[in-house]
Amino acid sequence: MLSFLRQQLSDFLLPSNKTMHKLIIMAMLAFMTFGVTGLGAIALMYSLSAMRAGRDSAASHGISAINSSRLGGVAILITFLLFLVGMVMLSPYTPGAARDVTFLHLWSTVFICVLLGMTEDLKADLLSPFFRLLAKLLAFGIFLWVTPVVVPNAIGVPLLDGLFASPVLAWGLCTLFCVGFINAFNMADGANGLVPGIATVAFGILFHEYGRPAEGVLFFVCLMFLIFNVISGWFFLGDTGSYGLGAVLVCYGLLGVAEGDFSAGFMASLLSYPCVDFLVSIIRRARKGQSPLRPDNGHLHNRLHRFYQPKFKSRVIPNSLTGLTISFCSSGLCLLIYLTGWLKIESNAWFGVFALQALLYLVVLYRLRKAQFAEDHTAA
Amino acid sequence: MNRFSFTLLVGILLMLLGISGVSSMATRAVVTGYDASVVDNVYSPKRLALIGLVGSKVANELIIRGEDTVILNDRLHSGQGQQDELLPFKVKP
Repeated sequence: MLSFLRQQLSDFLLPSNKTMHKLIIMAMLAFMTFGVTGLGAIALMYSLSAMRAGRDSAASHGISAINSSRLGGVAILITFLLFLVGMVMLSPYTPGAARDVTFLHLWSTVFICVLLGMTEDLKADLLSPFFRLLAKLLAFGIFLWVTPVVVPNAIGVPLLDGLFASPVLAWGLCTLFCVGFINAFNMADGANGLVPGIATVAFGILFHEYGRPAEGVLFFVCLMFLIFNVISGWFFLGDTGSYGLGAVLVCYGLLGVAEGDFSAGFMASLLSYPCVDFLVSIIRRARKGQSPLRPDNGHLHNRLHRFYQPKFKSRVIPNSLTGLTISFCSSGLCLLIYLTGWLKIESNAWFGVFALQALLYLVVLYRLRKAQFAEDHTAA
Repeated sequence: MNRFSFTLLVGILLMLLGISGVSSMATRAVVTGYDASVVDNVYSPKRLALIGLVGSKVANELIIRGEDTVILNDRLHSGQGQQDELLPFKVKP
């Protein structure tokens, strides 16, 4: 009887050995970084990752080799909202959206992007790509029109500054850029820890600069998700996460550039991977005569994963290593320069760092592509 | 209640515990006039257990910047209406 009860309790509380090992590592890292609060976030993500809704089979992804949930963004959203509600209820904190009309518009736009992403995550292809694109264009168009303080009048590039001198042209360019960036962020979300790593670095720097609670909470949530995603691989960020985080980053980035807090080159360097990968992918597809938004496996993260895969028995390690390598070499490089103070964040010299990151991307992509083409040729 | 609902509940409670801890720290910092007892006490074991190494730094930054920005409301900033029985510690004279 006692052993039966013990078995029941064990089944109720304890998962398999492999899962348990992953949970212990995640719990240790979460506790070291954010104490019991971090443990709470990991527990919340673990329970959401096991939900039946939003599950994807391994075959439906280019890199992932295990069945995962695409509700990572929903988990981030729930954790963020829980924190926000907790802060409002338990402390005299007033959210930025309630204090400042600029932030109210900003967060409303983010909310629309999150809703679009969540609809897609909960029921794939419910909204057509054209409708989503139009909705994002409208959301950002209206946001930037009614909040002109977010639109910069110069970005430090002589040729483009001439265009930014006209408010209407600047509005149009910024709207296109915002929508393009969100799609780029979504497109880059292809390996464990890639987009969460970039977002963690970006929110960490933004928090260090401004010290606003929203960035602090987003930094916490992204770091917890990064730990969870890299170690377990049970979650994808999904459209909710990539649209939502992309929208917050692009809005805060534009606002910072417009207010002169940092240069456009700094933001370009911080978010270099999604931007460069998006542009290169569009050019690659256009050269092949394909639709620019058609998914393929020619991204740098796909090729790097193929490079790492034969070196490890585990299915999760090559995936996570791919994401961490790219986020470290792109946003991590920017963080390193920022922390050492080699360049001031207002400096236009950051465009040079961005050029270096783009060059690194192209060189690595070229070498991997060449090596893998030779492998395929030999195999055939 | 199955395993996952239980984990979800535990996760939410732990997070609320952390938020409550940071909130009470911020209140304490305001009342003591941002002295070292809260602001410089980054590595106290209780605080590390509650919000961890990185969280302690983040909370510190929030408390310091909250002095003139967003965390606490005007009533607490000015100290008006603050009653002794609400204070979880002894205020220095």
